[in-house]
Amino acid sequence: MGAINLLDSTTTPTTTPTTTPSAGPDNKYVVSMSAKFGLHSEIRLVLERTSAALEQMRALKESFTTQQQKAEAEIRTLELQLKETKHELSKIIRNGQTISQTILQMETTINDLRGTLSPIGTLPNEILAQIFEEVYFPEHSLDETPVPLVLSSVCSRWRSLVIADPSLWEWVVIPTQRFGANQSTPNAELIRLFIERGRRSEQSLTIEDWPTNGSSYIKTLLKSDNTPWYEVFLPSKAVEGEVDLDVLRATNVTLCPEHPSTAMAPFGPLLRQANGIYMNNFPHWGNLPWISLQTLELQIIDPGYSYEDSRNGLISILRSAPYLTQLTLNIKFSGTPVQPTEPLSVTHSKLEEISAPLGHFTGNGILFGIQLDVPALTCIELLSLKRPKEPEQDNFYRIWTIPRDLTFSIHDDDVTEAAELVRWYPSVHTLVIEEGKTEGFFIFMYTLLDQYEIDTSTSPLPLPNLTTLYIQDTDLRGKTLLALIDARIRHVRNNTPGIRALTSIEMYETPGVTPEDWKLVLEKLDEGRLLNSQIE
Amino acid sequence: MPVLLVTSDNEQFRVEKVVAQRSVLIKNMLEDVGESDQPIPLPNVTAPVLKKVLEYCDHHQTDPLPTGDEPSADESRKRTTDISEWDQKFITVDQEMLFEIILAANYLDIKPLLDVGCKTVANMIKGKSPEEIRKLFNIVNDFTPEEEAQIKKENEWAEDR
Repeated sequence: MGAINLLDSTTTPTTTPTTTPSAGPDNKYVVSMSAKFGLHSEIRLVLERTSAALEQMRALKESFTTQQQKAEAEIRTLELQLKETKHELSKIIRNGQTISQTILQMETTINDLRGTLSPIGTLPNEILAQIFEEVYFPEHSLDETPVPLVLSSVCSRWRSLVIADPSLWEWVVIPTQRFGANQSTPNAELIRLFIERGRRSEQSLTIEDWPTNGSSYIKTLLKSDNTPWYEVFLPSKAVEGEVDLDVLRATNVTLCPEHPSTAMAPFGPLLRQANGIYMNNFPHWGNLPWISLQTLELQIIDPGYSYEDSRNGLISILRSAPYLTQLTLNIKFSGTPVQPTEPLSVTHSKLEEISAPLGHFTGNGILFGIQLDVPALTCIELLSLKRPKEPEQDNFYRIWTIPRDLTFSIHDDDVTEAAELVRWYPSVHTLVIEEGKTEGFFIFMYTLLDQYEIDTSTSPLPLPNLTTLYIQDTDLRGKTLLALIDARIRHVRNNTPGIRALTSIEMYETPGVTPEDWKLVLEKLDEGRLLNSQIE
Repeated sequence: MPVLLVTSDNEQFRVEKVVAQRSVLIKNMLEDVGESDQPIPLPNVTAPVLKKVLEYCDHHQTDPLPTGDEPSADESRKRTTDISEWDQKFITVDQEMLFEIILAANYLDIKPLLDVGCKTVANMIKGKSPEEIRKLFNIVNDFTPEEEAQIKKENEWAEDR
């Protein structure tokens, strides 16, 4: 007889019950045992419960065995199914690979065939897009079919690429007198198309002429998006018309009224919000400061302005635009500049770059007779080296002592002027010459440096701190450039106070410097870097 | 030290390192392998095309290498399709060679050459009508009738002048 669990019959057995040797129902066994041995009823009850528990365990065992068998069968079925599915999957993967290869082969064949028929078809989309951007030129008028319309009418591939590139739709033009008062015309639709496809990302707007009857359709189009235009270009005709300026906001504004007498006040709100302004006239500044203005370019060719007007104009700019960083002034004024005995001093803390002709300066940092106190200034560009000739004007060379970058172009009769000028810019370390006849200029530079007996206290060396040259589109020869580099190196070796060797040269379109020259130049620049580092 | 380049048609070119390094792809490969006389395979470029590309690299070996900085919005607005005289002569080739040079410049990562190629194609396109462009490049007009109708509508402005 095996072990009998004497727990209460309601208690669930926690271990697998052992089998009893008895055959038949346990209850009968208990009854017959009770009858045979005359057991006490309590013992009988315990035995009955035990017997019931045993029965229950037996049933559980049977059930478990059945379930186990069922699960094992199910696992076998599932394993079989899984094997078949895996097999199917590998077949599909193999087929997919074959299909991918076929697709690739077909694409290659199509491209090859396209290439045979039309070589341009071999170019990938990104290169084709680059070509389209080269074809495109921002059109300020609508005389010819706009480039994006032409390109998008060639074939479906080009069309998809052109429509997907917002930069090709960047310039919107409102052309002269082509609109009805309130209805949509093909020209108005063209504007809508450009605005839609350009998605106002850095989009610019030219208003050739504002419809005098005021097209509400156009106004609605312009109002449809509050993003400011990248640039609004208002040529003279538009300025004379009645432009509804309340619908316009722009980051940059170009405003070119034909007549100097044109009232500037109506343009105030548009100009005040702009970061950059290009004008051919002085703005009407008003009393409030123009806090958005960072870049101002004034090209005033009307000789109606006197030197005094220009001076007052400059004072207004410096006082009205406290955050201005770049100022370009090119004024064709009447009369000659006057060197004031005591120039007015104006401070501007943000101005970094000034571009102006040499003729606008009358002394060291004195522009139109105003002594500029501009501590942030780093860069000066001389738009022209021409200046009025007067006997006492040697002083006029001493025009600036603080800028680090100097830019100018040297034209036919500017060589001497340029060569003399650079002796008065002691702090410049970067010289940019963008075009012109520079050969004579550089010969002067190294010849002057080669004069060892020169007294630097009375006759300053040209650009002593110069380390970087940027030369473009010039007639400079390699021999001359090497002579200049050598002359500066000799001074550094001889411990001439304050002078630095050249360490960096960027050069474009200068055929006089051959590849052989260039190799030598690179070696000398390395030497210059080493020498400068020893000084520092 | 010269560098050995091998084209897709198995031709070898021995060139000066300074010339080969106009290609950013080759420059990076040389930097990765260090000093080695192993030939550099160029499986996407044929010998005639590589010969032309190397002619360009040799002529421009002293030019400053592009910095990779994207032009600012203002610079890109001043984009110009001017090509220098030497480059113009160099790129005066048949269409097939022109596009192969462009593809090679793209693969070899020679940006200035890619720019010259793109500008040349751009100059060929400029001022032409869609029909003239199709004829020039042998492009098939594959527009659906719906697209044709849309294009016609977009061009109605010209009749409204």
